[in-house]
Amino acid sequence: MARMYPAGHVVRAGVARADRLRRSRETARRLWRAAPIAAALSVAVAGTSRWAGWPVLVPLGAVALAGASLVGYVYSTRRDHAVSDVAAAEIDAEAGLGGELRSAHWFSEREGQNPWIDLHLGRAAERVQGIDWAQLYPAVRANRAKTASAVMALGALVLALSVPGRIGIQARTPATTTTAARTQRPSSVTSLPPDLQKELEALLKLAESGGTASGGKALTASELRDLLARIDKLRGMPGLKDGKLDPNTPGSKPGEMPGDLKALTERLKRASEMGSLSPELKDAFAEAAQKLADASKTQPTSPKDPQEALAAADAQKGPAGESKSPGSQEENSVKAVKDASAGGGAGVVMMSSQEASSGKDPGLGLGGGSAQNSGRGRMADLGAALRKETIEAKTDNPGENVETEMRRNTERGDATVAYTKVAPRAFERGRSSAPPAVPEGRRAAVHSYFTRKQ
Amino acid sequence: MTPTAVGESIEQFRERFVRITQEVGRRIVGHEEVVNLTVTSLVAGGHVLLEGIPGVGKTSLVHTLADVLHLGFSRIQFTPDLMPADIVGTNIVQEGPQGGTFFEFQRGPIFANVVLADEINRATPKTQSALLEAMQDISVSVGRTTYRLDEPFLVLATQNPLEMEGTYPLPEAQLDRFFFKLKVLYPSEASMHDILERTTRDAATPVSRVADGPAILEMRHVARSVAIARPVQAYAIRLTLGSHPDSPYATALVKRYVRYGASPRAAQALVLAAKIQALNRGQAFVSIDDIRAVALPALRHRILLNFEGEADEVSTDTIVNELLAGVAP
Repeated sequence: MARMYPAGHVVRAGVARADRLRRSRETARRLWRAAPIAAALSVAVAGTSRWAGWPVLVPLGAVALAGASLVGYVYSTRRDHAVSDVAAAEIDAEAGLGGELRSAHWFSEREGQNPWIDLHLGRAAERVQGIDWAQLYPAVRANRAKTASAVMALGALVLALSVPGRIGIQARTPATTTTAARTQRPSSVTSLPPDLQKELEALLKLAESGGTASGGKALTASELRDLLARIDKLRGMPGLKDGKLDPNTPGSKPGEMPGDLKALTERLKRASEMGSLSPELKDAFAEAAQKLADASKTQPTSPKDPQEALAAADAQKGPAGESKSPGSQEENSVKAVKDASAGGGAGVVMMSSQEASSGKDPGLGLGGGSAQNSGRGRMADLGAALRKETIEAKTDNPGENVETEMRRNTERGDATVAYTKVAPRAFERGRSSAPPAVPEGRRAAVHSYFTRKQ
Repeated sequence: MTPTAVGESIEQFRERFVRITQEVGRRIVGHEEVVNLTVTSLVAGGHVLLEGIPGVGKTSLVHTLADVLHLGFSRIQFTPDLMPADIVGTNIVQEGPQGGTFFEFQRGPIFANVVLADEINRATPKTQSALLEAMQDISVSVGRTTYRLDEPFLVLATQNPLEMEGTYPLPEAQLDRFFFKLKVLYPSEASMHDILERTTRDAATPVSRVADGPAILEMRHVARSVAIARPVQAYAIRLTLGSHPDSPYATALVKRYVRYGASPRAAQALVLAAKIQALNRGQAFVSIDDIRAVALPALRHRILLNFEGEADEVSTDTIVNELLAGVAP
């Protein structure tokens, strides 16, 4: 009947212990060979991080990663597992047992009843028990490696947790300033000034009551103009940004006016359509509604993020952006690049939008400042397009429809392509100058000219 | 059988083995390893091909071994005109006591325990092949009758590596049946002194009989009982397979110079000889070192070189040594 050999247990236990000690020794040797390197790398990462101003988590993560790797390696190698024949052979050779341990280890895991194997295992067990495995595989000391690793790891931590680096300070300062600036903004107005609002309310009540004041006196045209002039002054009031309501007004969305102003504007519009009122009053109400609507328009294109602002500034410094900032509407607006050929063809025209109602930046881009792409035109594309235009413009190609020399000269002339003072996202409506005011004496005539007679 | 009895068997085996080799060594000087391996082959039941120049003691070794073992000995001098019947024997006509005649088988010199086939490569392949059945099956067939040879049966063949003219190299099948091929080297200067002192005196060196046939058979039984672990046996197999040029264990020299590698008989010889080596050490297990110790005599004559190997005069010993160095234990 097959059975495990009695002496096999001793042999297995001895080989397992020897294997454990051997692996521990080998692991310790490798560990203390790798630990100083890992610690040095951590120090390097910490130093680089401090110099480059990386977050403190980077060096801490490097130290943690190195430590975790070493711990994981130790854990994986020290786990108990079946001793392989190769390991048994190596232990046998290192113990100088002449192959007896290897052979016995193999037989110890088998069943059987063979007196020869019994004898073999019995002799092997005696020899295994007589071996001091701890002496054969002494613990690795590696004091220098341990000290060096500890010192370098400590150094890495000190570097990581000490004063941040120079660039780190510089990098953090603008953000802090911006945040502070944002927090220090004055609270925006949510509605009109109280006195103006009162007057508008009174005016609306007057209109709804039939165009007479509370005392039965009709509102004169001069009073109306005074009211309109006051609405015009809204542009300069605090809380209004460049003549418009602050887009950061709580409760308002970009491009929308606050709810109270909207209701007020609606009431003004309705009043301007009331038939019981005089034409002057209706015009005044319509104008007031329009002014309120204009004033309450928000300006969504104003860059909020400092980085966006920086990008916009960089764009201005590009090869096309010769001017630092737009000085006037004329400087900002039209610089067209036209196809020099007579046929025109696919002309590439870049111009800023002049539509007041669009409310969008003119920007840069192929095909002009479209609503979406303006400001996102790549300078490389623009440069390529301009070079193409320049080359084509320089070419003396009269085309089929050129008949006269004068036309040809015109076409061939130095169509130097240039666009200057076109700043992406920099066009601000508030900087546009208003048309000259109509003289006081001619206002009635202008009104009557543009107003349909009923 | 108990482990204690096994231990006693091992000690008895070792004692006998040592006594045999020591007794042979009294007459044969400077060839301890050859004597050891020859006795190993005898215990294992194999045959030995001794190769060496004339005068180094090949025939004396065989003579001495027969004397020490108290075994029947015969010597066959192989010549080109030697016929198989001269080895095996033949039927001759005999006259009966009543005047009638009958055929009677006249045993040849093969009917002995220790047969010395001197200069075996001088006989024709036909005659050489007469030894095949005897070496493999320990029997000879004459006509319709098969005769069993006495055990232990050991063929010790010698051949001269220098005089190749007029010789018939042994075919591979014949070579494969030799357990070991031993090279009897020229003795050293110190050994020469001993040889001269022992052989130039008036009295020959006497040897005593320390074992007999049954003792050798008992030793053979003990040797085959030795346990061998599978990883050690696998090493013997890898060595054998590594001698084939298309084997994954083949070394560079094998791939370049070997035409055919060793047969499974080589692995048998490796393991069996290693067991005897282990017993000689007094151990009940076979180790890798035991395998390595017998690899050279067990493999060298079983490796057939290709044309390039023959042209470059590559020694099979070099190939086996490279195998020992290249195949992982």
